[in-house]
Order: sequence, then C-alpha cells, then structure tokens
Amino acid sequence: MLTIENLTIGYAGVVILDGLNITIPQGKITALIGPNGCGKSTLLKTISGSLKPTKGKVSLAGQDLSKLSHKTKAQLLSILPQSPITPEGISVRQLVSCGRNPYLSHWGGLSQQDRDEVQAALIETGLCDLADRAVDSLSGGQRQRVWIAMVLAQDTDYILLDEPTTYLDLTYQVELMEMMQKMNRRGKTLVVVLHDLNQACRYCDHLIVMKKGAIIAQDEPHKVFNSQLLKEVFSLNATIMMDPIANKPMCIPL
Amino acid sequence: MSRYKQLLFGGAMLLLMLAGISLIYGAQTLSINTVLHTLWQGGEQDFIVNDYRLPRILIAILVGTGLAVSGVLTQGIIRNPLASPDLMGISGGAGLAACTVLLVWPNIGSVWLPVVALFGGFSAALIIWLLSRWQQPSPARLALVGIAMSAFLSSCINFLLVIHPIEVNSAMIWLTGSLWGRNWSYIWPLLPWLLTLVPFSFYLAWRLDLFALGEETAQALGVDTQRLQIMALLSAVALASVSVAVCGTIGFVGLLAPHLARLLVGSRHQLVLPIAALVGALLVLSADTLARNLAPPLELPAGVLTAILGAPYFIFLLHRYKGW
Repeated sequence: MLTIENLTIGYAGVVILDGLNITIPQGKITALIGPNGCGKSTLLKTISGSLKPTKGKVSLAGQDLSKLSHKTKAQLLSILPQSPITPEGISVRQLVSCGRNPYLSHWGGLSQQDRDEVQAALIETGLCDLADRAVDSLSGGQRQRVWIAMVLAQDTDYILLDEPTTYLDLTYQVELMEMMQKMNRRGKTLVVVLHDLNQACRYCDHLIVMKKGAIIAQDEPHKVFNSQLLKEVFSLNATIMMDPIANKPMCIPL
Repeated sequence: MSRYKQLLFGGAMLLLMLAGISLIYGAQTLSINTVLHTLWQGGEQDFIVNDYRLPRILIAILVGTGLAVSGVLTQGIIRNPLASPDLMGISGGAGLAACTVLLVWPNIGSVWLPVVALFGGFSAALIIWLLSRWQQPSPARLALVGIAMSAFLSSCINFLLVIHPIEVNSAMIWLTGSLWGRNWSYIWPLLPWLLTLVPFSFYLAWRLDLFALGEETAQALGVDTQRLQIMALLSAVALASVSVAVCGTIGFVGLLAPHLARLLVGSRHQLVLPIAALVGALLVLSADTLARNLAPPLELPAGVLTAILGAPYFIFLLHRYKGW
C-alpha cells in the first residue's frame, strides 16, 4: 500500500503542497483531478522521488521510499512523465527495452528474460508490427502506446501516469484508458493525473480531488463526485447524472 | 558484415591510410619502402619517421579521440547540440592555465602540463555551472555564455602574451592548436588519462541513452541522474583539458565529431562513441597532415584548419536550431 504522510513541498518560499495525507488503495486505479496548477503533477513527482519533499514522507508497504536506492525504487514504482523526450531515430523496441534498466547489471546488456519481457510488453500494447520503426515517425497515439509499453516492461506493481491522455484524439484516449484497465486487472496499482472528469469517473476506482495544494476529497467516484464538489473545486455549475453505459457518475456543465 | 561494422572498419582503414600518408609526406618526402623499412629496422631516417612523425600521428589520434569523446559526453549530458568543450570555454580555461604556467615557468615539462590544464578546465566548468545554476539557461543561452567565456579567456591569454613578448612565439603556436615538435615524451602523460576515461565513457554510454529520454524519465528508470551528470561532465572536462595540454586548443573537433557520428549511426551512445572517436582522430590527423604539407617547411597550426571546417558548421547549427 502506498501511503503519503504529512507531505509538504514548496519552491522558493511558496508552498505548493501543504501537509497532505493520502492513501492510495492497492490494486485500484486512482485518478488525481483538480484545476490547473493545483499541484497534481507536483504530487506525482514527489511520490516518484524526482522532487524532494520539505516535510513528510512517501512509503510503500511501510518502507520509506526515499531510503531506497534509485534502482530498487524503479523496480517497485514507475512513472511516465508528462512529456518525455523521444531521441531522434530510436526504434520502438529500443525505447521499450529502456524499461528493463532497473534489472540490468552495471554494464547493461539485456538477458533473455529481459528480451521476453520487452516482447510481452510489445504484444500487450499491439506494437509488434511497429517494433523496428523509429518512434519519431509514429503518430501521437502510437507514440504514447510505446511509452506505456516501456512502463509495462519495467514491470512494477505501482504505475504513475502524468496526464497520459493530453494531446491524444478521443479514440486514443479511450484506447489508453482501456489499456490502463487491462494493466489493473493484472494486479497493477495505477495513479493517473486526468483532466477529463467524466473519464476519471468512468475508468477509475478512486478519486483524489485537489485544489491549491490541498486534498478536498478522496474516495470512490459515486461517493465524492457531486455538483457541490464541482462548484467548490472547479467553480463550475454542473449537474450530475448516471452514465447509462458504465453506470458511473458523469457531469454535464450547465 | 553489418553497416555499423563496415563503418568502423572503413574508418579504421581510412585512419591507417592517412597515417601512412602522414609518414610519407612532409618537409622531406620519403618513399613507402623507406618508411616501412625505417618503422621496422630504423636506419638513417629513424629520426624523421620514428621520433618525429610517428609520435605526432599517435598524438593526433589520441587528442582527436579525447576531444571527440569529450564532445559526445558534453552534448549527451547537457542535451544541447551546440555544447562542446571548446565552445563552452573549458578548452579556454585549460589553455589559460597552461599558458600562464608555460610563460612563468617554461620548463614545467610535459607531465605536469596536463595537471595544470585540468585545473584550468575544471575552473572554467565550475564558473559555467554556477552561471547556469543562477539562471536556468536555454541551450542557445548556454552556448552564448560559453562563447563569452571563451572570448574572455582568450583575451586573458592575449594579455599574458603581450606582457611576455619574448616567450610569445612558442606559446602562440601552442595556443592555436599545433602538434609541432610533439614527441614521445608527450604521449606518456596523455595515455593514462585516455586509457581510463575513454572506457569509462563507454560505461556511461547506455545511461546517457536513458538520460536522453529526459531527466525525469531517466530517474523513473532508476538512473541516479545527478551522479551521472557529475561523472560525465568530470570525464568530459578532464578529456578536453589533457588534450589541450598536449596540443593547445584545436577547436571544433569536440563539436563536429559527435554530430558527424550521430548523422552516421543515430543517437545511441554505445554506437556513437567509437565512430565519434574515429572521426575526431581523422579530423585532427588530417588537419595536422595538411598543416605540415601546405607550405613546407613552414607549419600552420592544425587548429586553424579545424576551425576552417568547424566555424561554418557551427553557423549552420545555429541557423538550423529553432529553440531560441
């Protein structure tokens, strides 16, 4: 179980996250939602360890994550940043193989098991036919699938995704959400930053609602998602209805 | 044979050929037979071939390799196409330190010169690092800071030369990058640095590939990015400094060689490093061979020739670069 205790972080005297206490339920998909600049990405980066908290700690199964080595941590928890850089000319297979890094010895070199894991990730994401193509020649949706495949190859129990659907067509957004559900059914715990509230309700089991660096609510969608919350957090007048297909709450702005 | 092996093989052959040409031609042109005979058994041309041209060829290869690998590391870690040890003032710092010591203490000897140059190179790197910490620079701005640094350092060097008019000649030749009068005694101090730092850069190679995915992604994949940056930069500065200590500032090799190598084999550092090293060695060796043969017995500094090639390319890069 991933727990966050009294987490405080700020740069240059400005507090961005203020004393957060969060429990990420194991084996579920958790969505982080909130208006722009509320600290969602900062929270994700602090969980992954790329930002150091001023106070508080993040622990996984009772173990303080900041005490672990970079490599050990990368075997437990992976994060896909918002805009990773695609090096010119790198092939799909090469990029996906990067996910195996936490398991390699000092001099690198993939073992047979590493290669199998990479192949499995390629199959899982339907990229086998594109394996030898250059990533920068693919479409945005395919490219995002390559990054997801890299995270899959990393084979961690916890996966953090920072706005994975941004800049994607709706078709690819849905495809990505379904891929997340598939990963979840294999026992992965996911934490995603999402902008689309209806997608968050439909595809995620747990919502964490943030505003100005504080947690406003954290629970299952049908328990927290209501018009009061939308008014409070997003200053949005909306009505809540049940989505007739998935039977999850959805909002319609008024 | 894969295309990559063909490239490596072709490059090595070209280097060997160039070395042959360099042994044959010069102020006194020798026949192939004389050269081969002298290489094996010495003889009357022993001095020209074995003590004069051969060490110079080896130094050109070593220095070219050092500068190129330094360039690959610098560009890899700063993720800046305009970065290279000479454009960032690191070579300038090494040059200033070495020049100061040479003027004040002309008999310092070839063993201590690399150490002095290292000190200068690291000081320049430290200043650039502090400047970039103070203001997160864009690639172009970092290049500008480096160019300003280089200009400042070279004016310091000029100042030194003006107030020491008697020693000017030899220092001047050394500063524009020349292999004139470099014999075996310059190889031994250079060798241990290259023999440790070049393999070390191969050790860093696949971590640099991960670093190329962005600092955050590299961290997510378990790379200690801070340590990687420090190790790669220290190696890059050291490689550039010891190269400068032997030949002065042979400019643009650290910029050109990695670019050419990436053009040939893509962006993976494990593949780029050997090709860049070959290209660097070829560049310096051909520059030096030309420098010796354009107007014999006069010698041009090799650095002038690499600049003729490098400066237009740098302008091309600036032109192509859209991230202003």
